[in-house]
Amino acid sequence: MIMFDYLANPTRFRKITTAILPVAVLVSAVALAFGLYLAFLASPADYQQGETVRIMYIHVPAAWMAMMCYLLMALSAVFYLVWRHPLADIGARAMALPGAGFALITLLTGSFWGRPMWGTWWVWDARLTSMLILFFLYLGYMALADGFERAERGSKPASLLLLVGVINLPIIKFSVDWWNTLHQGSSVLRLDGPSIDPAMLKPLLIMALAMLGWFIAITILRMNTLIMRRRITNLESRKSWS
Amino acid sequence: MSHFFTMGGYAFYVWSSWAIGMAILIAITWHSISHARITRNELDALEHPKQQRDPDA
Repeated sequence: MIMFDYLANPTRFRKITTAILPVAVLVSAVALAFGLYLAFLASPADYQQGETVRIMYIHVPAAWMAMMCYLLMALSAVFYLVWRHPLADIGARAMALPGAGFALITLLTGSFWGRPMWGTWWVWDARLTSMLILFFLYLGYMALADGFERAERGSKPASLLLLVGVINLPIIKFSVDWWNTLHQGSSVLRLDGPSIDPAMLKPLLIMALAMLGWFIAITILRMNTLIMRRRITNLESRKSWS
Repeated sequence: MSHFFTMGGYAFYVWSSWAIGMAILIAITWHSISHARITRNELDALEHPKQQRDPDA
């Protein structure tokens, strides 16, 4: 809480994030270069799936990010609903578009992987459907948050939607265990440790780092834009009263 | 080297996936940067009505 109060001052927030932003961009760029090298040149083809396994290095990190981003937005929603701090609301709003982007990447790259390996672009099974629902939750959140003349009006219903939607996260994660599905099971986040080969785990983690850096940079940029937008609204309403 | 481009016959699926993924990330980056720029100019115009900022700065 002390940490949050400390960061919640907009001027201080701006100062700290301005320092973090270039670091995040640098980490993302270096990790992307290294990740691409590992994904395409330094990792083997799969013994069953051949070269299509290289789709995994964008598909899986994007899916992790889509879920992590939603979790962060839901946490922000709690902070906003309980402590009413506008910065928590701004954080959730800023993360919505990159989160939706990650979910869309997961769905589309999954389709391009499913077609050659399963013989179909799409099936209505538990994993694919719950990921599609996550994408719709992002779209619904954005529509609800921005659907009012005064932006803050949408904050409460949109935050509530985020909380309700959290139930979808364990469903995505465990869908491959709970239901019969075409989608393969977990090979990284398992109770008995990763079953994936280190040569394939490394590019996965490095690509995830690249996406995390990008996500942090974009979130900072979008939060600062939203802070400026609120300032504009305040200045304009003050002007119309004077 | 040709194996790199053909991806063992799966070139269409592998390269499409990466192209779509990168295109989405770049589009969001571009959208966020242009929004930040427009908003900053708008705010500057409100806070300093006399001195107009160079829009390209």
